[in-house]
Amino acid sequence: MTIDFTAIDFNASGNLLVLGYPPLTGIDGLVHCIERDTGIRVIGWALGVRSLDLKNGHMKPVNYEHRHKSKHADTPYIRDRRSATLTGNLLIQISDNDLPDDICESLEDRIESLRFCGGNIRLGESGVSLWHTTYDALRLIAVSHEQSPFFLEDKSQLLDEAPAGLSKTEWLMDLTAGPYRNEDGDFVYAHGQDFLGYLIPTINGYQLLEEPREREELRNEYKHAHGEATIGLGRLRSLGSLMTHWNEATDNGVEIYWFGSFGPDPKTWRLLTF
Amino acid sequence: MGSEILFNYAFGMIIAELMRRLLDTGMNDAAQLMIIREKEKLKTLHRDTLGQLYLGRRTDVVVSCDDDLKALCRFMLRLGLGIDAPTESSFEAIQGPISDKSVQNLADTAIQVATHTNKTIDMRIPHRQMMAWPESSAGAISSGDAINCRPVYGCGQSAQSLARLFWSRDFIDARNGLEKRTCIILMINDPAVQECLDCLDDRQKEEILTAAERHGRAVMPDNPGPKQVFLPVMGDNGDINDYLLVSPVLPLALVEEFYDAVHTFHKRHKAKSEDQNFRLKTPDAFVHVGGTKPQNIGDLFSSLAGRIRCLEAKIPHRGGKASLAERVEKGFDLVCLSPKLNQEAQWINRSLKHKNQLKSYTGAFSCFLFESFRLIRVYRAQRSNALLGISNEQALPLPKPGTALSEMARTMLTQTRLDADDVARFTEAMMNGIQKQAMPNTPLTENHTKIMRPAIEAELRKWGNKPGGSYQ
Repeated sequence: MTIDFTAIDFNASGNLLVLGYPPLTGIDGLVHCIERDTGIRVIGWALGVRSLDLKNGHMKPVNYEHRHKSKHADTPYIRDRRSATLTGNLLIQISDNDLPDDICESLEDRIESLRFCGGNIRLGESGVSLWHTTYDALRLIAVSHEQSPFFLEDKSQLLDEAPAGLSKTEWLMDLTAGPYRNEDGDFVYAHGQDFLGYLIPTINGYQLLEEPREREELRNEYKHAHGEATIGLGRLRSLGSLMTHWNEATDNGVEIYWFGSFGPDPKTWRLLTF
Repeated sequence: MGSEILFNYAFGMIIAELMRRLLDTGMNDAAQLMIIREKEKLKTLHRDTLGQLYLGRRTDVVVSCDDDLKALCRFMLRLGLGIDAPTESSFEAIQGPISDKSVQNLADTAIQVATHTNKTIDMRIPHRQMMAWPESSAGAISSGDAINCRPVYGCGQSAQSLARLFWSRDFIDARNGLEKRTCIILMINDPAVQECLDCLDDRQKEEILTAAERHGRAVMPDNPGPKQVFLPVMGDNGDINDYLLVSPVLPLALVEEFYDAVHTFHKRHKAKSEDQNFRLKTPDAFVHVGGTKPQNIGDLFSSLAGRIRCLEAKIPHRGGKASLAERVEKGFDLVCLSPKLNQEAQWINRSLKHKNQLKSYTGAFSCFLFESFRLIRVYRAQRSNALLGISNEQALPLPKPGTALSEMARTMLTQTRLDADDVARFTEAMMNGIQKQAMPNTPLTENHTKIMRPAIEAELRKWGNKPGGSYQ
């Protein structure tokens, strides 16, 4: 399933540390909303970003009220809200079992009432369409839009291969700073590593800071825990690169479909590609 | 009495943190760096002085404690540092009287220490702190990976009246999997804690246990705040059978780390900075907090000038809004298409050197590509809709009826295989359609037909030869 859409003024800073590409956790939330609304079963999703316009920060209004009348006047806080507008295609790999007949029409009616990382969604010209294979969907995207999208591939495992003497954050900084041409004319990274593609940081999950427990005033009767968003690494794959490496017969090639779940560590919820 | 224990504990935490930092600097004997005494007239340490001492900005202050506190410090050092209790000589420099007010100030200082603050802002929520030390996990970066993973002083409560508007709550947790601010709560279940507790006399042990029971439950907030994210929990069969609510908090250790990361980046690559080829991009995006008075929301953001440095995640710049013809000319998007068409496009670029000729030709070629693939896309979509049982009334528009293209569409929808005659006929129809729609004022030349005809035929043949028609 492909959804051509535009996300307007979504929150571009997921945990105030990564800015630009929408946080993967937010997209997973949107896909999960689609899954719940339409009754389909989602296997994975991939986001192709055709354009990403980051706006300057502006002050976010605060729900401010005088609760305590005292001689010390309260001052509202000020924080910039960094928002962006995105145009892209959302690919959702769904199960064929019990697929409703009017899935495209119902989703086209419903999609604009959902939120994309806090931003509004407007359906594009191509709308919602169903395809049997990913390759057909990619071909549709290739011929439908003037700007070909970039898909994200998980490269977070590179973070664990930091050279000696470098911390993880320093290694992340070197990788995302981009390659440069060395004396031989080859693209290498700052420490001489081979070219690994266009890498960007992204938010790929949550890490819990405590054991889940029952608390009061929750949104539902589920268990609650405090957690922090973790920063991962992704490689942007252009549509051309994707289709070059795509095997049309097996409909597989590059791992671009994301799916989130708790890993072997019960305190880690991570989005991984398959 | 229990509150005094907590104060003592807070003091012990600061001592432990100071000692840990001193040990990290390579000083085996931590007491060596704590030899400078503050002037005697400042017997009562001010809270700001303690904060500066904690941040490492003051080295001319000595922290002193009485004998009762000394045992607790040893206790905390054992737990916080994972080392054996220091000998008596290590405490020589920190002996001396200390007033109750100093202890209270120390406790206040420790209460202001946090590693995480809540990102969600709601002034109606009571003020909390949190100190958590998550472990480093594979495949991601969290605050456990920060180089100087240490608590941050004064991230809110020092300017409490303003900060509680900004940081709705802060929380305090303890390191190494210990959950409560007082550490005592969960430490009691730790064998190492039991060992240390056994070293204390009965009165101290009872006070600690009483304080743990009394204050332990009140540390974590009962109200988790409005920001709650649903995380689906999968069952064994792959279905979602439960959810977990998560309130995201901001890791202050990473905030401080990324702020300094650019300086360390340039320091590490100083030798390469003179190389012209070495043009690496460093993060230069900020989220401003605190407005014009960042000092009002804590010591950390005051030192960061109210700016949180962000890592930028942008897609590559593609030279503005170039038309399809221009990008075809550059060969940018052609790689998306079949290798044969890509090869032909490169041949065009090589063979046609005259600029006008090149422009017209690439324009025609791009129109051809767009139109031909759009038509094929229409037919594939129609057929896929037919296979899926979706009504074609609301599907993609078909060409006008009565034309060769509409006949072609109907044939492609009904037949699973195209004959050679059909291919030739449809190729001609498509070329005429493209010529009318895309290039109404330009007749097709020999060069056009030379490239367009085999490409369309190949595409149609590929379409028809696939099992099950066009749709695989």
